[in-house]
Amino acid sequence: MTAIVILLAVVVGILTVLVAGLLRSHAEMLRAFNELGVTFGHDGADTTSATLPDPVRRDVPHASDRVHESTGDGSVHEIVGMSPTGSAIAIGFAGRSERTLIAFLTSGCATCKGFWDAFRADAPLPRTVDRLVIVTRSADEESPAALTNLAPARHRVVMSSDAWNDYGVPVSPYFVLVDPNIGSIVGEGAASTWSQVGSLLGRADADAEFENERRIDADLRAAGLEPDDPTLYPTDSDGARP
Amino acid sequence: MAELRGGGIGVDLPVGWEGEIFDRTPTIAGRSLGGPVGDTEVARNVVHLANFALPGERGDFGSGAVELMNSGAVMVILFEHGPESVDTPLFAREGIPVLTADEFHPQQMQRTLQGQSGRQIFFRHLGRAFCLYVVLGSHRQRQALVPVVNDVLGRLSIEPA
Repeated sequence: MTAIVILLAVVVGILTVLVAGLLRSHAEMLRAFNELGVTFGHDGADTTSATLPDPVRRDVPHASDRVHESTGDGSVHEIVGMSPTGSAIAIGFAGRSERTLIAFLTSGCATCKGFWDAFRADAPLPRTVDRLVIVTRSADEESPAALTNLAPARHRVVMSSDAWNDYGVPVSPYFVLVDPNIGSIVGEGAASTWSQVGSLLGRADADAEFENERRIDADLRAAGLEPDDPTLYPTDSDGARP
Repeated sequence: MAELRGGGIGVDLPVGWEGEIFDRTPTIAGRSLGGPVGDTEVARNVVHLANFALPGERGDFGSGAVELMNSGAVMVILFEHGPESVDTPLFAREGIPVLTADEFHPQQMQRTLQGQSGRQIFFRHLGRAFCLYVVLGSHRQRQALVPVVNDVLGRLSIEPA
């Protein structure tokens, strides 16, 4: 009997050490993900196992508001590289009106596979996006053959490690929304599913609209007017607002 | 300014422009390397340059893209023919063309699109044969758009055959 008790105690002790080791390993992994800008939770509607941070909406006057790990300078860069089939490609943005979502993907990462599948299946673009450009690393760091099989026909795929460096991409998949109208990146961040990207972009747009209204109100108050000041709303001869 | 090079053709694109050079020089096995959709004949190289967002799926002569052009848009297409074409009368014109607004006409489009106009010219340069096809988003604005086209054509460099 005593021997059994001792044996059980030893087994429990070993299991305790193993569990402690696993917890420590798990904590280290979480810390590593966190350093890459990825946090885990269970509150996202589109989340299956991980909730990735919102894309950071950056108001143009406050470009230093970035809280992710991107090392880019926040400006818009042309993308120059090669297609998986060997074409030379240049993507420009200046002086244009299209809002472009740049998806930085790799051929190997498991999370990226969902995006490749969605893009090949012609998943609709988010409402605020005019076009999608997929950017992978250059041929010395990627497999053109694998990309040829993954690349969707509808969207342009550019292999360009320079673009990854220019935009300071910290992790893949990573998304950057470029608005040439204001010559700036309006949002960027990581996401785990395509539908999550759509909802995050929608939220970022709503935030931008809210900030814009707040700025206009502040400008009006600085000029001595309240937002509901009647002089701001012209009326016709009957006193009705047109 | 983006520099685009491939298939012995280079161009320093103006800011905001984009493009693609489909390098389809035949390989030893005779297999061509990629290219736009809707190919109707074997070309050595195809160049697409535009001041608007080019879609992923495009035909050699811009189908799939020209439908997206607004009134200020311009698309320049360079379509290379094989060496057997260089000495034919069709390619007798020498050198990269400089265009005038009078040359453009809606009927010169591969497929007529409301308001747009086009110009197609065959020429040879340094022993290589090309078809230049230019589409303007607005025929009415051709006086303003043609200098934009000529600026881009002036940035083209073509290596000898």
